[in-house]
Amino acid sequence: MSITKAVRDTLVAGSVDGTQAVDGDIAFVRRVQRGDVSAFDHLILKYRERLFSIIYNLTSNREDAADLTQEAFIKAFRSINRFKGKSSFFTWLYRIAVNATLTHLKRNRLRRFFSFENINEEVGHSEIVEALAERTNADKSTLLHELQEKLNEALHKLSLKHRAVVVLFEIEGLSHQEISEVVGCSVGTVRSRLHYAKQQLQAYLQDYLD
Amino acid sequence: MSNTTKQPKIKITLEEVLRIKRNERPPTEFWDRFDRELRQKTLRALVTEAPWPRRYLRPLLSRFLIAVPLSSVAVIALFFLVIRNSVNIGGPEMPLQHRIVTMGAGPLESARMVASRMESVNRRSMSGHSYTVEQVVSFPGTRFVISVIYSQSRQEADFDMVMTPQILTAASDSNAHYTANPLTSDSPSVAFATAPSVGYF
Repeated sequence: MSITKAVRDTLVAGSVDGTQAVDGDIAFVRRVQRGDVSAFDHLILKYRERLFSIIYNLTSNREDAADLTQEAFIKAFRSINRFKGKSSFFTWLYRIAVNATLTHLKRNRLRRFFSFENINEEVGHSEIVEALAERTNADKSTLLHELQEKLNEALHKLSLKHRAVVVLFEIEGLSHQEISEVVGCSVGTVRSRLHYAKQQLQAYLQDYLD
Repeated sequence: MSNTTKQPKIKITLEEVLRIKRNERPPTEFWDRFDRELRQKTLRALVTEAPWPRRYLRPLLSRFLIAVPLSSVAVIALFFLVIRNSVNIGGPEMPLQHRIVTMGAGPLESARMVASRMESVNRRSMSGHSYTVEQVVSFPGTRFVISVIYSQSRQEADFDMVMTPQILTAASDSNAHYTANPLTSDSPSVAFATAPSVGYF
């Protein structure tokens, strides 16, 4: 009984936070819809890094990611009057971004050029990097650079739909439900795509993994 | 020996390795450029292309103006002056949605014309090469000028642009285009094209 109550309390607390976040976005969206363009700047500021990160991890190209992020914001701005608030603003925005990115990647299937962002130096002190450096007997910066390349190569060996699910779940930390809304498929499909994609990645990256 | 006792062995999982990618982030200066570009792109996205007859008529008309005698030019100019003056921005006889004035003129001139047509202008100031209309009381449903786009391309002059009497800073640069918030789609608005040279609309 107490566990049920604790779970319920947690859910209620979570939903309050979530509702507040959604309400905050909705308030800004309503302002934009009424014509207050500056309110959209707030939404850009809030989501630009996360949106860029998703697109960057899908494309592995910082210039393309910047262009596509901008394109996604412009599309969102132009069609914001059509946003009725049935889903949260961020899933709507992410959907626009992911769709634009997948279209771009399909169009440029043969063109593959990676341009990476620098990895934050703090990650060099993480346990996982320490352990990897110890195992491979490599210098940390060399290891990180090599790992970055391997990770991007591995992600690009996945199909677009599998890559999208892995990026959204493992890197961006979205829930299965949120991913299903962004990608436009069922939660079950998200789970199965994730399972398959991780199997593939395990095989590609087995030299680094236990 | 000390190494083995110091640290428990960490299991390196796929999830942990993928999480390293969270640390691939652009530097802060990247965002300055990003914001600047996004602003420009957003403004450009708001601009709508002029209808094709106008695009094709413009060069023809330019040549025509050079070729015909001065008297003809005067007649044409008079004709367009009449057309231009016949459009009443605040007139009660036209439905709000149709109160759109499309003018081809230098932005400075356009700003003056628009300002002169606005009876609700509270304060106007002119300094140097820019003409500023400030604190104009907007009538209900008007759009807001949000920025000025500078363009090097003459082609891009072939646009319809929408503005309102909110805050307008008109630059003297003939490549300046004015754009406004398109989100209030059912609003009445004043539209004008800042064509670089000939004002014939």
